[in-house]
Amino acid sequence: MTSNPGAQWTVGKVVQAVLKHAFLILMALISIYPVLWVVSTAFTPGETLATGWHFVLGLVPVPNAPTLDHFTSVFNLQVTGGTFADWLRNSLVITVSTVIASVALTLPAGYAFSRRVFPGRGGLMFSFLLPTMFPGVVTIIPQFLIFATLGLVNTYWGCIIPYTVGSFALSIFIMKGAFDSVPRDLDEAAMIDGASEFRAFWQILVPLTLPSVATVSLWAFMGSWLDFALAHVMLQTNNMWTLPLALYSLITPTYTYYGTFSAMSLIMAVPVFVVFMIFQRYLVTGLTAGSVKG
Amino acid sequence: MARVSIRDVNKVFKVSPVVKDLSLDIADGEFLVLLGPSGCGKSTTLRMVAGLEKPTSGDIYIGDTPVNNVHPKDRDVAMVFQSYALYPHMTVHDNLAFPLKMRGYSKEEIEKTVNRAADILEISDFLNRRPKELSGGQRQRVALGRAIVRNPKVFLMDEPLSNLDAKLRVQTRIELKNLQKKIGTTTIYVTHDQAEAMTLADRVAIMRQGMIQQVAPPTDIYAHPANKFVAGFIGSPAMNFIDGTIKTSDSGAVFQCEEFSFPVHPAVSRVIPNGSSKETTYGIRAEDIVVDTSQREGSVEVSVFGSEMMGSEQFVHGKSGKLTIVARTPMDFRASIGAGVWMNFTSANAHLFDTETEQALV
Repeated sequence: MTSNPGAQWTVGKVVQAVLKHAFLILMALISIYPVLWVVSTAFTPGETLATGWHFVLGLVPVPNAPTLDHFTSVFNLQVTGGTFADWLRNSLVITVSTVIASVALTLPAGYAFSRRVFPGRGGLMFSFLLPTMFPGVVTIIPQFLIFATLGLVNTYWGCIIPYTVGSFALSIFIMKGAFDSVPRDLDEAAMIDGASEFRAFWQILVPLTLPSVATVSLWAFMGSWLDFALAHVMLQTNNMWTLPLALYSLITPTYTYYGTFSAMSLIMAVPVFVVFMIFQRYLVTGLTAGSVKG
Repeated sequence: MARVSIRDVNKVFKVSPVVKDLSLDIADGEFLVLLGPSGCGKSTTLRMVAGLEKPTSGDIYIGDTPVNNVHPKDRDVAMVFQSYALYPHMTVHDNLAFPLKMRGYSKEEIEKTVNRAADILEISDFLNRRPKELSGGQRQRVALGRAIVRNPKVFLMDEPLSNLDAKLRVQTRIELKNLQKKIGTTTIYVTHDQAEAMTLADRVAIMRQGMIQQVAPPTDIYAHPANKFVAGFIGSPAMNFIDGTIKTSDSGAVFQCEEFSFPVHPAVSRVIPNGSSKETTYGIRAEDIVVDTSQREGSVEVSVFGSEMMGSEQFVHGKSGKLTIVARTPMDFRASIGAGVWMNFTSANAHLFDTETEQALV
């Protein structure tokens, strides 16, 4: 809690503060509670949900005899022709490529929208934003037809290109805002100091917009690492699956492998968690860059 | 070092002309100040020399080379921005080294040159700091350092002192002048502050609405303004203007306005043929008016409506009818608000301007 110097703590203010914090703690618990179930299931023997654990405080599920068996199962998982190693590699290749492509394309695009005046600038910006106004699944079938024509179904490109394009609108918007917030004097000074436009962009502007680059990277990362719908359509053979597709294979019409499912969910969440921890301090700055003239 | 030549340059933004038919020659090693009110086109002119704006028509030369189509990086000019434009993610050392790196200097040369510039500007102690850790004055020095570090042909300065406090501004402008004399690099300096222009410039070019009004050394501009705008813009407080008619005769010249009339010094009235009269604007600076508490020959009475004590001197504001006049007096001059004082406008340093064209007649 913070207090202003000289501010008096009255009963009313104390009650207000307690209620406010109680509400926030309750919200945090509600958010984290399902995760506790996933963690417990992942470490509880057997594939059945909610057996083999007890509740602490009547709420928190704790395994009676914790085990790492489900994690071993994940690493040994095979589905006719596809292994966990294949799926992890596919997810990594697609995600890393998407992140690199998104950053490589949205940096110059954001720069152009910020610094260059060209005919149709407003219309072009709007055209990037237009697809975001429709539900994402609407575009899956047309995308599939296009990629089928191009022979890119069941290839990495079949996912990398739509993921990259899908993150474009928001990413360009973020990067444009970031470049807008850097005074033009800086690129002009760099050019007078002997830099070409590209060097001014690369050595002056890009380092100053790193928080936004982090945000764009994270956005592209999340969009590709966790996507199920598009991957489900585009990647058709078991050895081309990404991790979310493999995860889905654990739910069959006759049986659901809850233990392995939960362990795999946790494994998939680790990179997300790590990336979030690394970029956390950049995120808020990146998302709000350019919103206030500094 | 190089001379800079601006020939018949026009700049139009969309449909608004910002610079009109501007021609100016800046000699090798000269310190030229572009002075004018906001929006007069002085910064645009500077940016065209830097290559940050392209002239709509006309030519710009640096040395003998036409530079209209030369990229800023290849013009060999250095610019100090009003905002300083220091690279926030680099240390002071790296800020100074950046222009040298861009020109392919070796590591040893960069170190030597950066240290020399830092010594000249006394910024050696904070070479490892970032701009945000510096005071305004220190940042300003770093910005200057980045300009002098690579010995460019021309310095371009866009109101570089305007973010400093008054005391530091005075100190820095003296240092800047000495530095420019020492280095001898041709400098074009933009400001709206006439005190900066008067103290720094070898010549001042006064601009208004995209056009040059007068180019001359500061003392000439002050003593012989080309027109009413220049006369009113230079000098603090601004020159007093009285609209009326000057009449000359064998017995001398008299200036007649709505409120009063007073004799005109022969050195001023000589431009009006004897025995004629002409509608003109009479201009006189505060220091050329003699103020008295009692009537003297040729003086006119005005009522005091304010005074400003400046320390060593005092400015007395007087009013007569619709006319307001400000005059300089010694600090011990006493005049209470509402009291009448007598002002004498008959000075050899007064000016006459054509009422229609506003051009100086004398």
